[in-house]
Amino acid sequence: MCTLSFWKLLALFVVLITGCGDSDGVNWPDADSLYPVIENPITTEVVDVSNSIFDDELVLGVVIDGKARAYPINMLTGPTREIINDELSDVAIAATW
Amino acid sequence: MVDSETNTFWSHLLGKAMRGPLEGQELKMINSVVCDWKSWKADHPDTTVLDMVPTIASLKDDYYADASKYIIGMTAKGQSRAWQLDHLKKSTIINDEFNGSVVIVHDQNGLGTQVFSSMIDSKSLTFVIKKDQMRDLETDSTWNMRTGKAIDGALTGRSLKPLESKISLKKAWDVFYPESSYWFPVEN
Repeated sequence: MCTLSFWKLLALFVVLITGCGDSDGVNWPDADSLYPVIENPITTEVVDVSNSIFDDELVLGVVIDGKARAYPINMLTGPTREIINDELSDVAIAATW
Repeated sequence: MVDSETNTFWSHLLGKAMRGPLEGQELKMINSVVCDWKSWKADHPDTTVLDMVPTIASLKDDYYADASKYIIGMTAKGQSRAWQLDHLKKSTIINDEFNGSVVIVHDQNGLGTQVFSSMIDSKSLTFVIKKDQMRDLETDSTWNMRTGKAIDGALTGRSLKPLESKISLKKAWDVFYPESSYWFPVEN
């Protein structure tokens, strides 16, 4: 058992070493292992969030062709949420944090 | 940041494709502002808002309390310039030159920090804080410093053009824009 564990550990170590860095020295992640895409998110009006978004919360705001949209940063934090693919005034946008 | 169509890797801060089929291409930056929800909905009462379950609850108006860690920066014609948030907290308004006359404003209450062109009708305006409001020296008009719109005085209804800028951690900006110039206050 001990021998097997040793080889397993060694194999893991080799994978880690070979997986770290690339010919250009950058740690590029595997594109297939990335988080699920967020697109066409649900948006709503100011009156609908009066009890869920507080006045002192930070938002990322954008205006395109007179239409305004806010992205509360408390909804954008964490690796699964940092990119929101959206559309505003027929413009495809990515809100990132 | 990766696009699922081509698996190209993109830099958040640069908006540039760093590796993959689209390497070298750049996304068009759209001007945005970070401010508190109260200010945003006051300026844009018809706004829509993202409706997702929050992942945290801690990002509030004290986020930039340690202002020396943050900058607002912009790029133009291959050059970049940054203004430190701690300097903006002291002066609220900075009149500067970068690819033309610009004014950088920091709303002390709502936290919105933005860069606007200072030009109206091909003339450069100089801005100051007077009685807690943003005024220009040339016409003494009063401006909403978050929207860049004149709300009182001779220029009422006119708007300053917002310029694409980004708030960033200073240490990240310095890595991605190592040649960036900085604005510093004049020593008295």
